[in-house]
Amino acid sequence: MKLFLIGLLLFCSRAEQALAQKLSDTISIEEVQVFGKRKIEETATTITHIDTMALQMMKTQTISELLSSYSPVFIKSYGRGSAATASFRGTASSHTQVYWNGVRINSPMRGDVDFSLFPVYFIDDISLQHGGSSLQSGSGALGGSVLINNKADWTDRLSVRFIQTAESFGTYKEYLNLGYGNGKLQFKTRLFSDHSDNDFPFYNYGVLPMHPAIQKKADYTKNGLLQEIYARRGKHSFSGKFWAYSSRRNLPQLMSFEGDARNETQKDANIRGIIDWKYVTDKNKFELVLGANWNRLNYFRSSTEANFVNFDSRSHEKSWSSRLNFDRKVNERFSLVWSLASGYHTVSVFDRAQKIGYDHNRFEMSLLNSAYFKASERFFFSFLMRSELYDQHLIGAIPSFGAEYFIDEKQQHSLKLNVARNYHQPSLNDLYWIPGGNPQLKPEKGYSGDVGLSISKPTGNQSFSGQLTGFMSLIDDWIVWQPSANGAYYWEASNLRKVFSRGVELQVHYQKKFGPQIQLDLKGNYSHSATSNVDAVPSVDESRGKQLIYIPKDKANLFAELNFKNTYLKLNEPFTGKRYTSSNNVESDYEKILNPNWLVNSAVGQKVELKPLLIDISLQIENLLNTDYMAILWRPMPGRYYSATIQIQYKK
Amino acid sequence: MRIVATIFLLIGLFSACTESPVETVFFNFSGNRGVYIVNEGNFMYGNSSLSFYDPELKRVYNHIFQARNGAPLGDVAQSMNLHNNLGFIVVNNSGKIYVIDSQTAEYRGTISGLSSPRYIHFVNSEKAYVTDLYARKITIFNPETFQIKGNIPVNNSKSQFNQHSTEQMVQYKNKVFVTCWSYDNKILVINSDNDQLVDSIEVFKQPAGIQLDRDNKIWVLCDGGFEGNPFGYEQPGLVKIDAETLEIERSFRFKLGEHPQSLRLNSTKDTLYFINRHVWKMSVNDKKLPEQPLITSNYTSLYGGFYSIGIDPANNDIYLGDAIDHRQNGIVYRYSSNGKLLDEFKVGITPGNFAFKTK
Repeated sequence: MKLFLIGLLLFCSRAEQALAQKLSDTISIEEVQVFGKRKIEETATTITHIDTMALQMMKTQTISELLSSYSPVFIKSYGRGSAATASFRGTASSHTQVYWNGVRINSPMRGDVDFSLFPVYFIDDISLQHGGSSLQSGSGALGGSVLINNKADWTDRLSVRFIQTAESFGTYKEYLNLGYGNGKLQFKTRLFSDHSDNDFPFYNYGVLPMHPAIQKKADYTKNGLLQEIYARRGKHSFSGKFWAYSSRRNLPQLMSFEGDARNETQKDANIRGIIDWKYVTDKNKFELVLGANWNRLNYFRSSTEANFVNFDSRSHEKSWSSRLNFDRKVNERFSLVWSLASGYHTVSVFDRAQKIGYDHNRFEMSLLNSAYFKASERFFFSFLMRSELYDQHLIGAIPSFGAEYFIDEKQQHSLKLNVARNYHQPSLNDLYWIPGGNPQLKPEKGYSGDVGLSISKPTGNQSFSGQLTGFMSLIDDWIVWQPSANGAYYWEASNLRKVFSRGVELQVHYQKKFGPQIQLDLKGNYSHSATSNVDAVPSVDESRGKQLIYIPKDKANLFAELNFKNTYLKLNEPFTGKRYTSSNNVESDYEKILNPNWLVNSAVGQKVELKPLLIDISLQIENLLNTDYMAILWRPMPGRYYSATIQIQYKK
Repeated sequence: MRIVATIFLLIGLFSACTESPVETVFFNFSGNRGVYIVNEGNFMYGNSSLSFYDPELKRVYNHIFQARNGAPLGDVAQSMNLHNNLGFIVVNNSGKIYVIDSQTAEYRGTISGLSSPRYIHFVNSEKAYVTDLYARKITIFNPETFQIKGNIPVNNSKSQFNQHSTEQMVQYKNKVFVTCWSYDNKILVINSDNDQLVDSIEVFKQPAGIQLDRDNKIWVLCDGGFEGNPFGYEQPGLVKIDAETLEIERSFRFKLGEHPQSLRLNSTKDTLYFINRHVWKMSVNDKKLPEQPLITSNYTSLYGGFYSIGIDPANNDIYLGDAIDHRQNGIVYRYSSNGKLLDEFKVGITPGNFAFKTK
């Protein structure tokens, strides 16, 4: 191992020298946006922008991998290509709200979002609103919100970008982007296709006798289209976005499975459309957003030998939403934001094999009144008040207060404070699933507070920025599915837990330029979130005060990118701390916890300009150190694997 | 530059160190009376486990399958039977039966390729039946060679539901009675000489537990389904059937919303035990359901409570499994036959089934 380390270090230094000799032409490196712009609505709030450098690095991945590698959000993934949900600040997956171009796209049926169904290639901008700061976008994000946006490129006259990736385990990904326009009217079309046989080798220590094995029936195919239209005239601007996506996944069995031949698949399809109109003057901004979101999900399981279908569950979700925004900048020190949003969701679930399902709908409205003050050059305040109505429930007041104090005159360092109340409505499955759904469920109630220190130190050819946030939240009436004391064999939903979550989030970024041609970027983030059940009832219940299962206390990422002229080397190291799989957090030789793992993913690439084409070729090694780990109990993960990507870009 | 690379690589190396394998633990329960406790674990977690309790020493051994054999037991261990010094553990969602030596817990073999196996019934030393929730067949295997010998089709093409899902079994002469639990209301009668489905008896909805008493009467506990069940939802019930004539002799009804489960008989086969939140005891001659529980559950919260029951054939001690929140190690309470608490001990996640070792 030592030899390997020395070898790799030597390789790094030698490669630098060799490349320095080879490359003498000056080719301009693509401009990279590193820091997000500061809007008044973003003062006194905790928002993280994931920069375009990360989007570029992860362009052939999904948002689940992007968030896992570049944000404090923990992604619970069932494996390569499989479903992936988010846990923000130690909360449940339904406590992360996701907005696509301003429209909430959480499943009204389950409450969460499967991030493995969002290719990074289909987004232009992604940011996170932590804790109470998420009330700007909507309620229900007891952990935080993820904002996914598409943006117009008004400078694009004609552009074509094609990416081809070939990866281990029979994986091929193709991406195509076409853009054209005249600065007043812009069109952008994106297409992608992703297929993997996903037949990676692993050592199966889940059966007797233990043996080397190949993952079976884990293949997936995903295809998507995103069409955008943007127009602007005077103070008016208009955009239309249309998204179509389909995914078919074979679901592999646990390592211990030795049963008859099983077919288990999940098919997802979604169609989304958004129309947005904006009218912007010096002091006012009106915005109207109309959205539609249709999802279909088919979970199927059959025993092929017995020719017997166990499950054939089909769910259809249809959502219509609208939002009217009015921003008014009263003066330099005071601005107001008013927003009225409504949504109508219908869910129809039916299992053809089990002959069971439900049909329900939900209407919801949300009113936001918020004000932003600049008390002095250094003091900023924000007040938010939301009122929500869903089904027959009125939640009159969901307030939030934020403050930010700039320590220095240049406004580079600041202290932040945010306190908020929040609510999360039960999902339609929680209420109506048969058996076990509970129509009497109350919304989950949360109180949260966070304090943060933000610093930024740009000096000459190097810069440093960082943000340290401490947070605390108490969520009451947390909804849990578990067997009830009446002895029913099925599980039931109830407002069972009171959960206390607290922790810190740290994000740092260091950038240094060594002369005009060499640039180094180092980034890191770390989050610690202890999430515990503080209200265990029976005396024998040892789960009181213990960490919730599958949620790590610690999560970190390190990222390094070295650019030398047109050659780049990238290292990305996501760390996931120890995770418990039992509610009393027991661990022994046999009581399985999920061990901490620190993966190393690497990429080396070269950009070549063959006018008018810009070509970028890269080679990636994922899980470079061949770490043996499990993301979910008894589900294997691939060891070291390889991928090669070529990107060809043309821009007029 | 190198320093940075070193830091990044060292972190990686640190994490690449693999854990050392756990040493094998050897057990020998020869000559000891005791009980194996099958801990189901959670569906799709693969965390089921096997415990052994020695009532004389009041000592429990947990995770004995993995400790002895290295590999985990699998996903949702459903039931266990002891037969000819072997233990047969049905691992439901792993589609297999693991066979161990009943004195040492040493792995002896696997019967694999099953769909959703539930319970085993030994017809003789060369033939055993395995029921299945989904396969619509009862699999026949040889308990000496662990080879699958065939199956008994139980497909009911006349029903719109996927029948028959087969569950627990008892045998009277050459008739094996099988409960059909999921979306069903039948007791199937199998001729164990020729492995043919010969008859069926209609009972209440969702019959699960079945016992054969000293008078050759069959007792069947039906849970009645659940609200919204497309097959129907009715009061749970207990049915007494004559094994010779297949006639229903008597039936008892519980209240709608109650969930009676885990029907057991004592060693003399004259007293029934079951859980309906509390533990209830009734004589096979009783003409109505008992009014006072034998053991009262103190749980007042929304979850937790008695989940499974086992009766020691040697002394009629009652073993009660409590799964608490089903996500942590459960507790087994041991009571005397008249309801006095004798011992309690921690086992694995969701203790669901007991197999008594008499020597």
